Amino acid sequence: MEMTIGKRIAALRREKELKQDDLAQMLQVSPQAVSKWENDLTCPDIALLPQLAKILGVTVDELLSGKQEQQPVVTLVPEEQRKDIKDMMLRVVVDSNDGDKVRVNLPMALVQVALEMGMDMPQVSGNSAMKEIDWNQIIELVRHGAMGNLVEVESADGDIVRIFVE
Amino acid sequence: MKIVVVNPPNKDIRLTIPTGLVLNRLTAAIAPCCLQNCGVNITGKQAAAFIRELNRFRRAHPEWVLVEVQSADGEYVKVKL
Repeated sequence: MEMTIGKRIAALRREKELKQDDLAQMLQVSPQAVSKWENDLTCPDIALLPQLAKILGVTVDELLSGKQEQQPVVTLVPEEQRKDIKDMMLRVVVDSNDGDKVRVNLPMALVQVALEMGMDMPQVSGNSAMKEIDWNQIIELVRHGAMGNLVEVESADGDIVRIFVE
Repeated sequence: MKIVVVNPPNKDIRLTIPTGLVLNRLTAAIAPCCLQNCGVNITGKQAAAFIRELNRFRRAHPEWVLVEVQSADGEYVKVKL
């Protein structure tokens, strides 16, 4: 099932922990108008789209198409600009072919501790490619300043798994 | 810890559980026994270190969302620590 613009607005609004009333107030429209957008009865006015996208933390293109902007490719951060590994976040993004989305945000420090204990990383999807990922190598890459989209795997079923560090 | 379950047309479920109740020394002591059944062998000290790190990060990043799952049918689950 394809996600409509209304459902996207509702999902993004919930992500931001905003109520329909809050969003309506920010955009100076009625709460009923927001409800109608989210139920796909009407669409937001074109003039409101930039402000709506800004409030929801996405671009207008992302809001309309639902396609997320590509994460930046891997960048090598110079040693003096590197963050402490304890404040870094490892994000695992799984977009299944059926339209299901899984987002797991793990602190790098926690991943490190878990690996030192000899724990296996959770199998976020049934994707066998996830089992082959060498997490120690990912930590090693991060230690050497690699940031961004470190792993991208597309299974034969069309599921996409991405791992990025920020 | 906040758990949000949105499953239209059913009512949304929003659970707020004190994180200290879930992540504490007691759970750290119990965790090794429970994890052993899943094939993970850790000591009580390691579990305590894990929980300590989890709590440190949670305090440093109050807006941290641990897991977010959205199904194609519109079901949505979020776990925020």
